[in-house]
Amino acid sequence: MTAVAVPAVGIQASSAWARMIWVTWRQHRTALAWAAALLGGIAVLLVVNGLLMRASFHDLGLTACHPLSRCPGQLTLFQSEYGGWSIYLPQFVKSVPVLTGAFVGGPLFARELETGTYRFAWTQGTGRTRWVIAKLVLLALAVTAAAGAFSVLFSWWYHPLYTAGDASLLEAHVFDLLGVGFAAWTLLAFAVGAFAGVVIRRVVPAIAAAIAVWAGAAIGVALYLRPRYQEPITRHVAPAIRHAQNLIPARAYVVRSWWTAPDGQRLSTDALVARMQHLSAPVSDFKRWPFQHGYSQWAAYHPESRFWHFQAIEGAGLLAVSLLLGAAAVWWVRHRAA
Amino acid sequence: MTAITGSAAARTGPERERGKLPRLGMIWVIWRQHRVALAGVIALLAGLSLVLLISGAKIRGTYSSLGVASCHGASQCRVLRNLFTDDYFGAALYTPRFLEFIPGLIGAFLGAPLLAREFEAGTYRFAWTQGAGRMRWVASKVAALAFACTALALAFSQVFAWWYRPFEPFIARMISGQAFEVEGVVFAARTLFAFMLGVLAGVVLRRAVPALAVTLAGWLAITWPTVAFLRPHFQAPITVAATAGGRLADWGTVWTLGDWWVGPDGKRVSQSAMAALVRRLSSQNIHPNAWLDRHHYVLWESYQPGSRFWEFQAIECAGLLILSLALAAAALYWVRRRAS
Repeated sequence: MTAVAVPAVGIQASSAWARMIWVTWRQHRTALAWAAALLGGIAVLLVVNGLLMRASFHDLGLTACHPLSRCPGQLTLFQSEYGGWSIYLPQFVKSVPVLTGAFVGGPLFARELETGTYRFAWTQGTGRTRWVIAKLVLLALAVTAAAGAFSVLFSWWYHPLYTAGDASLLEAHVFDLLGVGFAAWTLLAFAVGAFAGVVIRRVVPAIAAAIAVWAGAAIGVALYLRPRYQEPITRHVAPAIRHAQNLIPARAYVVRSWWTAPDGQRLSTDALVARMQHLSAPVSDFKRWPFQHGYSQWAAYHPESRFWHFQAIEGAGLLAVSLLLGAAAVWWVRHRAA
Repeated sequence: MTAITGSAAARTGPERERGKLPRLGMIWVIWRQHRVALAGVIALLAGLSLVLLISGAKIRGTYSSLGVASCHGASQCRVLRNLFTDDYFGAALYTPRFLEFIPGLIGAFLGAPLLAREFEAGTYRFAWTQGAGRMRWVASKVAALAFACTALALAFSQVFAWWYRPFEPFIARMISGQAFEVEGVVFAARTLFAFMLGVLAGVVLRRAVPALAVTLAGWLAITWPTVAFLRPHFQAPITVAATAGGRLADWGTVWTLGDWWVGPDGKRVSQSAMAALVRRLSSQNIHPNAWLDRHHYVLWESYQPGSRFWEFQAIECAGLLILSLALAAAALYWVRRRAS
């Protein structure tokens, strides 16, 4: 709070903005240091594990193996050693954006409002609007940049597991940890926290609200919104049992699959099975019967080449929502927060 | 804070004169002070329960319309089972992975601000001198809220167990990050542990937000290694030669911990030696699996059977209870000796 006593009268507008950088740093350096410690701690884990994993990938001779399907033995060895990490670590890392954003953003204005220091802080030469905008922009840039750098490291760590596995980058498991997703989701948590802090005016409830809203948004987007960013491609999965090879490209993100009956009626797999079970003559082979009786299976999917397109859509959307929340926080401070 | 001077005291006038606050009055004050936090926890768990109930009804609908329970013949049963698990594999896998963070959040948000807020705002000077002594205030608050959040977590575990029941025969629920973390008593024990950790962090740090952050970090730092590294060793795993027909009928539900190769000489082959061997075979265009079989290399696997579910639950729950009691004792000691 010492920073506030800096010359308050007669300062130039440009130097007032410049001074806000210093004030923001002084007031929030502890929070930023904690965020950096959290990201740094996990980064060390990623670097150590990533180097070990790369060494193993190389020692097994997988780097010289093109395509990888030529070396199933080595692939199995690699996966039995590191496959578990590809499941647990991303799941753990998923909590990083929300914790960073909520703990930096939630107390940002709520602390001043809760303890009453805002009366003092917002009347120091720098007007309250400039004060709020400067803090929002500077801290948003700081957490987003840190998160962006972290996600580059995460992509580096994930690469061997991606190469050795067959999962699509579009799947919810990793999509929001790669590309611009990680930084954008961190920014959203920060913006929700800052806005909640201005409205609720209490630190702990603001952090709780930020975590709850963020989790709801993350689940909602992954389940309902992301599959609809673009019209999925629809294709026969297996037109006949004779050549029942999968016609969907590798690493596609399958959104849904269904069957069509000979009369053109659309059926879910479950409905088809229920139909087979209620025939007068029992069906012995569930796998062949539908094809022998004129049913065909369809799937709607997104090819993996849409990864960057989807990232751009999600990143732009989250950026827009975050900007709106920031603007709403500024408006609230100007008009509501007395 | 109004509650303390307001109707609680007024209603219990005679007792107050004797310098005592009746238990019920104290409970009322605790409820008044923390009802927003408790209402938040209840709303969160009730909302999640509602989602689980709706989705559980749908899962049961698919289960019965597919006729998984009444299948005939091994191959038909397998097809039906696969259809059922294909439909809901993602849900069965990811739901517990998301829910396993809930105990840490509930415990931290309820526990960390509990005493930290009183210290931070300075209200403890006033609050802890009302009718009852500070130890009685602190002990009652901690006990009442610990009971509340543990009971709510336990109730939620029952809803989750009901939701998960159709998957039980098909999915290894003991695997780290799976249903084990949300079913049974572990979920409630972890909530209690997070709560007590939060109380202690709040008493020591005396500031709500740092206490909250430390609690979340500490809870993750204890829970994650327990799940990933400690739990596989609660009991000695069973080892079996996987290639010698030693696989169990319920292979789908066991928790496989690891595998290693044993050479024809009966000694364990190191990972790097195995890698070199496999690489040599591939370079000679020999398919490794068949060659290894012919030359009496045997793949051993170690696992924890699904039948140990409740034993493991009891072990982890007991450990967390002891830790929680120790944390509670430390918090009370700190309040008594250090906090003034």
